[in-house]
Amino acid sequence: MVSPVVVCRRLMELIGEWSFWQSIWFSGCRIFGGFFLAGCLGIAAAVCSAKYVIVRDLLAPFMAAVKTTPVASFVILALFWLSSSQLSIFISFLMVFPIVYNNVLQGILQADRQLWEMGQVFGLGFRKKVKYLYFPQMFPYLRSACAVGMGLCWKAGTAAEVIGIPDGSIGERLQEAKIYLQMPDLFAWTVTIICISIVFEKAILAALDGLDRKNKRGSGK
Amino acid sequence: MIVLRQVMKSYETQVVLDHISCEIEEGCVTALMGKSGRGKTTLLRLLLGLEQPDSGQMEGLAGKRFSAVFQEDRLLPGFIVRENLRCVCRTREQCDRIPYLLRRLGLEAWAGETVEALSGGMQRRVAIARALLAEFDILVLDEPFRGLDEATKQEVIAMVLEEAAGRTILVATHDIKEVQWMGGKVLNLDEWR
Repeated sequence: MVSPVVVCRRLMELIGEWSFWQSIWFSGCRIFGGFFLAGCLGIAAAVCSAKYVIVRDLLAPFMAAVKTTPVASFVILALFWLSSSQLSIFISFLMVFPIVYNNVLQGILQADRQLWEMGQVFGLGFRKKVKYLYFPQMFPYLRSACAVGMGLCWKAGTAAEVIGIPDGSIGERLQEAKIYLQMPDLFAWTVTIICISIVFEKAILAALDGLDRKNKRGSGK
Repeated sequence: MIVLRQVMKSYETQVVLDHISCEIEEGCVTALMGKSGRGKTTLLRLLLGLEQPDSGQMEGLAGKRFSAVFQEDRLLPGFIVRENLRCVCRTREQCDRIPYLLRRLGLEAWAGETVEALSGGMQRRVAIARALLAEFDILVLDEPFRGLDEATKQEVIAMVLEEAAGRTILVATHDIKEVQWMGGKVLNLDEWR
């Protein structure tokens, strides 16, 4: 084992290296890409499922399979079809998609019927329904999905990289630390992943809160 | 003329509207009176198209635009007052009327506040302002002046009559004073039983 002082010293050294930032950029782009894609498609699928029961029924077995299948199985399967550099996009997508889908679907299904009737009577168009009814009603559920999903994305994304070992990724750096028994590196990279995950989560939640605030306060005119 | 013929509506075993027939003159005020549970709200919901009758016909509603003050305020939670009104605007002209309506209802200073910061009476006035802002041929008011004091009630009624002049107003209430202030024809649902 290594002391926290040694880990901190190694982390400081890594921060000074260009390759450290390149690895963060490489993995961050892919993991966030998968998260973003899962967020968009999860919302779209939830809206379709709320509207059409058949979509909900068709997606149910897929969602159940994704939730229960071990990440390692998905990683190994995905390696047959995808290059290792694309792996973390796919895995983070798979981790977040069911969470966003289920949460947003719950948000829509539990929406206030009285407000929907209000929208119907006043003849609100699709854009206004999204702005005034859909988004505010599903916002708490989406926010919670993003908070859970972001952490999960980094955990599963880097785990996938450790198995797939794409060049220049955080996963590769963790794998190297393991092979060469570089414990300070292993802890330094773990601390880095935790910090990045927290920063991403806070940034996404702040962006969502800002969007919600702007939506509810309007343009101010 | 809006014509209802033998309209029936029931919920499970409870018959709320039992083969009612009536005519509602367009362009005037019609007050629906009756004790609680007589089906005033149900009738208004049928007219708004929020529910379908079990049997019977409703004529003269096709192509009509509705606006409503519901029994509950049904304001957008978390949204500021101005946005609650803006949501029903289709044109810039409608949006430009927001400050005027808020001023007339004594809510001008609250335009930028969230609806939760308002008292019950103020929230009711926001719901009334929203109904008057929307484009409509028929204004449906379900106990619209609940929570307003007598003086405010009279002022708001005068404003509603002025803003909706020449259009059909259907108001459900059990307050005879409100009916007198609103004027128009009275349909007493107690007599339909």
